[in-house]
Amino acid sequence: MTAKPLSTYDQNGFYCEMLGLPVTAQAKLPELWERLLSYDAEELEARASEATGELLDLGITFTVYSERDAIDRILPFDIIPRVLSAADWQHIEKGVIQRVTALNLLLEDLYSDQKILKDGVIPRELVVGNANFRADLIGYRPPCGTFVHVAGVDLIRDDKGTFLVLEDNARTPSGVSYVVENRHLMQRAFPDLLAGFSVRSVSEYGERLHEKLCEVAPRDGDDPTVVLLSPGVFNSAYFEHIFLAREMGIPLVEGRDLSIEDDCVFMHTVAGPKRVDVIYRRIDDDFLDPDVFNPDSVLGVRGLVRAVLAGNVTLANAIGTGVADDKAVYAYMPRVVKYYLGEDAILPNVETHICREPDALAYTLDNLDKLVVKPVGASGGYGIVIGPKASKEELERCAEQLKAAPEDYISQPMVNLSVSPTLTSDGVAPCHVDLRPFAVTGRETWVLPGGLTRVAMRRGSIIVNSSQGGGTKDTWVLEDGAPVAESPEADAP
Amino acid sequence: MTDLLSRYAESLFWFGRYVERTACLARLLEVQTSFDRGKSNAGTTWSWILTLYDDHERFRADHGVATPDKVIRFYVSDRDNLGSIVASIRAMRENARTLRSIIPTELWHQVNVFYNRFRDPTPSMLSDARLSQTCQMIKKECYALQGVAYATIYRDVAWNFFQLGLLIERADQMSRLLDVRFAQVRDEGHAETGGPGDFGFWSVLLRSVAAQQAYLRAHPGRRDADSVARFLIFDPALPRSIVFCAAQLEVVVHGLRRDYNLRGATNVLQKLDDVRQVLDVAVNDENLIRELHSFNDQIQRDLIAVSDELGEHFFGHGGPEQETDSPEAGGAQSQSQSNTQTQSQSS
Repeated sequence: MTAKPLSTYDQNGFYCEMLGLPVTAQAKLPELWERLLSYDAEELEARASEATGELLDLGITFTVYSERDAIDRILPFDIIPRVLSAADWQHIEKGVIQRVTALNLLLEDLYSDQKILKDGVIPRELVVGNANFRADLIGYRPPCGTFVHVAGVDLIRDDKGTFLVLEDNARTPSGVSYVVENRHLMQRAFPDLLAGFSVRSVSEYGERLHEKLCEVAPRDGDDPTVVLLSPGVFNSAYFEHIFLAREMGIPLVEGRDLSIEDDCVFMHTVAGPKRVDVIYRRIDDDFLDPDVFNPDSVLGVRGLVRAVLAGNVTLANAIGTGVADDKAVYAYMPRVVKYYLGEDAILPNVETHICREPDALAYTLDNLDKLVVKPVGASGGYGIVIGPKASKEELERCAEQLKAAPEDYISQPMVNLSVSPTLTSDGVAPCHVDLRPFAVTGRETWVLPGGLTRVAMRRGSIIVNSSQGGGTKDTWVLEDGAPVAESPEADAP
Repeated sequence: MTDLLSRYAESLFWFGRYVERTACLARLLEVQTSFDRGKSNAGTTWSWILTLYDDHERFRADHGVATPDKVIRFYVSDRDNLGSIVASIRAMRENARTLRSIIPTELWHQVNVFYNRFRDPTPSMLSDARLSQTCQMIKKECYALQGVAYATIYRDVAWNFFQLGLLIERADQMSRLLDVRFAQVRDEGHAETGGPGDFGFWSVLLRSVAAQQAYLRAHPGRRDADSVARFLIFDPALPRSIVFCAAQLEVVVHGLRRDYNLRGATNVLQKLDDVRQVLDVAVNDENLIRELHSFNDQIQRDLIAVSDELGEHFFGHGGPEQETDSPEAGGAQSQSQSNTQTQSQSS
């Protein structure tokens, strides 16, 4: 009855976001740990089910449509927060800004002089042969030279507590709405847990994003018209589109609400056509403009690309950014950072073997049972082979695929992802987490304090992707000067 | 703000219509259920609702002979019937979902909780013992929703379109109800026209439009066909009377022109003038009660014309009026068409 689930929590030899290294295992925020320890299972369950009910009532859901029905699913929310110290955050923030700066410089170069290819830093065929490289855009320079206005840089933490970049998301990264809504949910469902801690606010995201989008407007003027372009209510991320439009106070449009005249974009309003300056689009390149990309797409706007190239409208993110967040190009990012900025990467990559290189392929084939093999270009958690967990047959199949098309794969060592205490169906367990901070860029880059913590809620699973049963946590970035690690109270009995 | 998307304007209009439609249908069924209780010939009193919504053919094709149970299910829980309460709630919510970035979170929350509560009515919610209560709860949810809307929606042009939908639906429902109920009086002899009539019948009619107490205050002790009809059509203080709705529609459309400088409003006002004219003639017509059907037909046709103008000038529906059926033949058919949302949705 009065069992306190946190009291038997075992971090299982992993780095824990709450307790740090397994050898020291000390609460980073002792007062928070004490509070968590005081809750019994019933209390935690009650809070969790309140939070779940709230998500459904507020429609913070993704909707699965069938012929007869619309089924609302929620992204599971874990009520135990993930905490980042002020020092951790300063490091992440600097690293993310550096990374996003390098991504934008890379894209600006790839779509103009291609110096980085001429200098042989990245193999030319990796870029020009890439399906996400849009050769017809060469020569187009977006306002401020910014291609990636919104970036989500996925970070993981290894067993020493070091942050590593797992992948860059430079197309239309999603999840930021959950960062903000999770905090609001926490404030309502668990106010007593938050009380007294100085946690940095996440509420200003919409305002900041809007400010950055205005900075990249093509025309001079005080009040550019910014819209958010969504595929519509059937898109699984529709909630996020609503959220962002609402937070920015801008119209949420669909392709059918827009048309092009004289290479300018107009939206259909009750007062007639209104000129649009900036489009924050949440539609992939392929569906943007049936004249240029997928001719069957009804989601986009015919003539949109011409309007962009004519400099009459700015798309955020720009077209063709997919070449920079490709998993194959990812492997070169430390060198890209060095090349453009003359600095070492603040946030290192996970060690990556590029299987198109013969040595790397040989190494990968020899160590298949120890490595994670990832297809290049695909997104989501599908198609990944996790060597240490794969069966003999799976490994054999993987080896065959590698030999047949080595350029389609990279491999990485198995990283022991950090864990965070998480309420699961069998009590509080150490579940693996990652972190996706969100960076917005106009003239300069701003990073939302925290980011989306995704948690693999299936015991033992390391895949945190929401399409694979992952959930999310509220992510707390502590204010500078807030109590962190090694506080003497931690030793109090 | 006048940069309201045309598509949003249309969704606001339909959102308003479905809120009102759900409330009207729930109230009607609630009253009918209570009235039906304890009558020996109970079954026969339900099929007039099929007449009300022009559903006889559709109903017969799918369900055969009308029984109270079948009619109740058809109008409460049948998802394939786009005119049922569950379908209306769903359509209301889909419109609200489209509008989520501009409507207050409190309003969306109300819609969503409402939808989740009545998405799948259990058989027991439709049982004899519970149906009246279920309909009452649905009606109350609609009132609560309108209350939240009134208390929270930002009064820019979006508000005008929401009101337009609500008022047009309300006037249309009233007109239909008068038409069907007074035809019953004539055909089934529920009451002598002009005579004291069947006390219960008028009571049910008045209750089913939430006008019973108001009527008694305005006409103490009196209850005859002519005064009931005139009250429901012309009383300027009754929020569901046709005159009240028409006056409000004029105010709202004037606002579109005056406050937001939307020129299309002029065309809509012209159609509202037609409604006004019909009402002005009717109020002085001593034979109104005998000509109620043609009066209602005209009112409904004019309301459709108002909706069409809104579609053309604000919702981005095609160019000038397409060829329509001749007014005589059009009748019920075109009416039920324009009363269903045909908004296309991308996939």
